[in-house]
Amino acid sequence: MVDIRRSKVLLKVAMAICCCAFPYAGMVSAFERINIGDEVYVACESVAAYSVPSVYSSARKELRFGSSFTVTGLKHMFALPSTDFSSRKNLEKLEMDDAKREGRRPEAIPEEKFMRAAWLHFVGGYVPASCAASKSLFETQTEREVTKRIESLNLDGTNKNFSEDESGDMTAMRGATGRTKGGKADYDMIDALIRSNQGIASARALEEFRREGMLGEYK
Amino acid sequence: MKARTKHVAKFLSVYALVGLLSSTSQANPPGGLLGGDAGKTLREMMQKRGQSGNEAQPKSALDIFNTTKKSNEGDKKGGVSPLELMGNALEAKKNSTLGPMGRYFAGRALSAQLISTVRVLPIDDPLTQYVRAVSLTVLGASNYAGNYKDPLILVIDDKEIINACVAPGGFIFVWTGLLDFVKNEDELAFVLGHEVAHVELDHSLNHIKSQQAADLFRDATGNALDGMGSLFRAMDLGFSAKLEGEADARGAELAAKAGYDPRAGVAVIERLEKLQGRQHGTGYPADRRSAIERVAMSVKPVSAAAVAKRTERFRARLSRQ
Repeated sequence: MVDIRRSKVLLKVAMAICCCAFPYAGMVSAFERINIGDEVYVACESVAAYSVPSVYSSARKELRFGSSFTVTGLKHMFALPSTDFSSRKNLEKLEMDDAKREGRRPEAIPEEKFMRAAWLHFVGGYVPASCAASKSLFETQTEREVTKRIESLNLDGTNKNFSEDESGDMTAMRGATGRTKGGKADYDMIDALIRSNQGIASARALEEFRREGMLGEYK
Repeated sequence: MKARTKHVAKFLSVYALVGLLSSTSQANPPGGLLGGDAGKTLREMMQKRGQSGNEAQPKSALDIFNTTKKSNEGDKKGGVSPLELMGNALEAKKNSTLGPMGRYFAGRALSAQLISTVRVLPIDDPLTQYVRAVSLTVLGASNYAGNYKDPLILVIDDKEIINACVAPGGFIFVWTGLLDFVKNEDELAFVLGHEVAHVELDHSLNHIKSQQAADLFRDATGNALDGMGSLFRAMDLGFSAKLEGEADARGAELAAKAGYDPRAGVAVIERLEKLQGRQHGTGYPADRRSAIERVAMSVKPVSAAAVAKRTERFRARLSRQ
């Protein structure tokens, strides 16, 4: 039987531990914090530099993996979700705890700690931030390194409490995924699909799709 | 209808994705979804040092250090000092962001698992082409507008399954059962937006991080955290109501940003509730409509003519099946 209240308290404590251990950097965020003036590297095979911060705009040039640029502007800022350890809510909670312990008034959390940019500007145009990486992150962008990272993850007990007798949603879930459970990963097939998929989505056709459907830049 | 209902997946959740997670082998463990091996680094290092068995329960975050220290005093051979713990945490930080290539490889691993047991339509199938266009339009509105490789959008040929799922790195799967279930393109866009939102908001990553934090806590104190220590438990229930609510709202935002009518999300949810005869499990907010309606109120209304035009092409594309 689960004592939900106790679990919640413990979760808060455990989260606070992480926040204490990672004081200021938004460290467990999947979104890297990038600042104006930073030199960043393209970590996608290729990415377009757009005329405005939108994939619905025209592409000015193509940047290849490894090319770098200096960030001159941050666009489409968004707050990290509340579930992120570096969200405003979590940082405020941490600051409150710190202030209480130290007997001082809590300070406001600077925006740059919980805000991230979806688009980066440089002299050549706008690039999605999801294709950019700082130097230190870029250095990890090798197949060997990322595979090692992915494989090194090991969450014990992820099958705990699974019961074949579960009903309701679990039945529904197995409807979608049950056949997958025993499946062996087919990398040949997925790689073949990925290969044949590259470059098939023509920018022109997609623009026509949006125009016809009054979407994107045509909405 | 009954038989079909039995097979209805919780399509507005990431159950398919989560199901994949639960089924991944140790070579591609669930935690690989979005990133980070902080938990392992900490956990393993602590376990190596024999850190366990302290029954004291910390009352505050900092008590973890005291607890650890006490344990050290009790066992001079093992244990992790506060400084070591901090050092380990900082070390683990280095691994907390997978980056574009890491997201791609994580998504590829999950996708390889999925496609091994389903039948996918050819990528040049007209239906796949149509779903790809809708998906890319929605994805383009997200914070993951760029991916390591071109996004791979696949349609799974199984009308019994009402589902869609998105894996990090630009992998999108839509079951033909979902295409039958949604009434128009705007509804499809909302469902895709909801799934993209789960990835964009790093719900899985954060869930894993919570799990890892829990494990760290447990390992440091010797207390098992029943009820929250297992990622699978969350898989069982779906994400929390809070996260599902976030994905609903963000999904509606993404659809709206792309030009779709976010109110289509309300229609989908209402129909799904009728079909299932209840709300979708414990992992969903009690009132899913209000989050979507709030988004709809905040954006410029979409013209009925635009929705009608898209509905027409949706029907035309689906009738070709």
